[in-house]
Amino acid sequence: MAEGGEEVRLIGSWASPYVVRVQIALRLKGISYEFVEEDLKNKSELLLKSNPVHKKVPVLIHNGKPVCESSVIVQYIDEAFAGTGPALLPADPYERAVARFWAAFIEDTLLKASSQASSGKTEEEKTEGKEKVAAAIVTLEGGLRECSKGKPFFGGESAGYVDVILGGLLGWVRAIDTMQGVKTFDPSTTPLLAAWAERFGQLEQVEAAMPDGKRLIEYAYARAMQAAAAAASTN
Amino acid sequence: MMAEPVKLIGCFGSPFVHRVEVALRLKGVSYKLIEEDLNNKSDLLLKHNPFHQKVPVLLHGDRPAICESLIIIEYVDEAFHGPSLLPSDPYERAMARFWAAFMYKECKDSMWIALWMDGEVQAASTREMKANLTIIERQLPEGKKFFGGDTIGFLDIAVGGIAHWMGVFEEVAGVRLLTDKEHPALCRWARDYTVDETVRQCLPDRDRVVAALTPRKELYVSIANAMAAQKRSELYISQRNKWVTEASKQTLTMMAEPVKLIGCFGSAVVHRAEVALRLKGVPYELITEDLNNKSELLQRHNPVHQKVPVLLHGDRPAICESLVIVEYADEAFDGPLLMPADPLARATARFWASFMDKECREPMWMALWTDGEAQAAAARETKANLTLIESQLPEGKRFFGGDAIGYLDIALGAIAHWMGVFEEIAGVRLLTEEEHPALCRWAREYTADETVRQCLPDWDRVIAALTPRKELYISIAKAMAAQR
Repeated sequence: MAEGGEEVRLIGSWASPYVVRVQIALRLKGISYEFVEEDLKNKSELLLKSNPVHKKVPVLIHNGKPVCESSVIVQYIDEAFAGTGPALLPADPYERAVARFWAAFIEDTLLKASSQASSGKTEEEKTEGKEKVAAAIVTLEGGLRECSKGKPFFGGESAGYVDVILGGLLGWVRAIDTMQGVKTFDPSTTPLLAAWAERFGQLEQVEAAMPDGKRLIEYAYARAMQAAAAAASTN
Repeated sequence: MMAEPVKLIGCFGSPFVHRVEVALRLKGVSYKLIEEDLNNKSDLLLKHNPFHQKVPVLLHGDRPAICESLIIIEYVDEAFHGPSLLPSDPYERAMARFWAAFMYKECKDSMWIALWMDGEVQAASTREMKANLTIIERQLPEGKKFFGGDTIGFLDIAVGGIAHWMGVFEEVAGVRLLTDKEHPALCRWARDYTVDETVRQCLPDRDRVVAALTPRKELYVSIANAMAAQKRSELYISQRNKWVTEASKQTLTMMAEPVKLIGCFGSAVVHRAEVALRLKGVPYELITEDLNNKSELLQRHNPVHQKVPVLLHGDRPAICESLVIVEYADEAFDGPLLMPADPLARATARFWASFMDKECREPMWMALWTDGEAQAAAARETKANLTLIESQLPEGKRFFGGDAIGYLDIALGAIAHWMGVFEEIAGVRLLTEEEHPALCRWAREYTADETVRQCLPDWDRVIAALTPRKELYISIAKAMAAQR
């Protein structure tokens, strides 16, 4: 962090896709920041003080003031650093509304379904979750078509708000694809999203923000084993 | 008057105190200098400048203190004989005062940021600062040594800080702003000013000032940070205003484009959209859906969710999701702003709106429609959430948005009206005067508001419409509880 500069700190944990979102946003805007790695099993005083309501990461601390909730943080970064780097949200109010709609869709529909698919209490629930995820991705393909209008990103010529909100998940998407031998963004059913994932993932700022693929897979396996062990011990 | 003793409360190294000393000396007024330690302010200072507790402060005889350096200088010019500091011509006096104010108001922030920050914001402020120095330089009368002409005058004194302290701060910060190359005339003036006989008598030794101010560097950096944050906020606001102005150039066309809102009776999220449109003064046609029998219109315009509210503005494709609609209404139309202007305040408003929609819904639902231990736990959680929300009400204000209804009030509107409706149907009390007096007061203010009332569905009608759905609500709550 440069002496005499703005103080931007990001409290996060390396594997969290929500944290990756914020890192991508900061890097796209060209804002330098200090990353504070949090041990989520042993939460720091700083985290508890900065996010007393949720006690979760990410938390952005800008000149001492905390901002919480990844999508709120990304919008904040776009507004508070309005003169710096490209704008993440478009200028036109209608296009902003469209961007916010799809960001909300990713949060409320796609991620909720994904959560059900992985943590559903019964096999039935999990299967239903997987179906919902597949349906949501097809819908999102339509969203990409609407937002990009033939250009490379949801944001048009350059990556914007929706790209960042979805893009934070790319690390996990790749990990799951590898582990389960699937293609979440299937080029045959969702060609635009498949191409987008390739393209977005190759952006220099995004590569720098993504967690290491192998490490993520190891972590996912470790968690799955823990969950299985816990389930076995209660049977 | 001249016989009455003059005391000046000052402190070492202050350019504002220096200004006053120069003025007193030029007028030939003898004075006693009382040096304050600003880390340990004396009773004398606190008594005489209770508002700002700053130096300089002038005490002339028994009169109450005079504060603010430029005001003191004008007083000294008028109260004592001796050469005039201000020009005699009224127009010239006005110009001298104008440029003195310019120096202070326009230059202070950009100079500070240029000295103590870095990166893009520093570069921008440096450009601004240098442009200001050029403007000031142009005020030097042709062929004269000083702004005041052949002798030092009011404007020289007002701007004198640049002559000496600029160099001091440049040295502490390690930054060059005032150079011979870019501002030769101003640099020449600075040299003439600092070698002047009278000025030298009260100019603090440069090295001593550097030594005294260097330890305050961190303080200066944090002040600069705060200024930069303020400037960015202003930049964002001016950008926003530009968008709004651009939009309002089209507003006549935009406002002429018909606005339709697809909603349904009794929905709290539809109400959000209606309140926002009404507060912005946007006329709209309300199309009421029967959610048991969704119209082709709704299915066509919200194929993703098939939910209400849906906003149709002219020929544009539909806008869905109540909070997205509220932000759209705020940005696309003129009228009072619903979102605060400052980015941090906006982030806070969005955070709590998200909290309401994501964290509060389920516990509230379970607290209303389940029973036993699950209900008790959900009720506790709901009340804790209400307490958190209540804490966001600004002190002494009627609404979350301050004196007028804003984005967060709209997002939380369900608490003000629908909570009571559900409480009555379920026979459960969650929001009580005893436990949440401020939130209850807010709820009353919200529902009594003129604009809100126009689109607030009638209490009894809503109860009548929703009571038959009680079984449905209970089964939804059971499903929620099972998933937790």
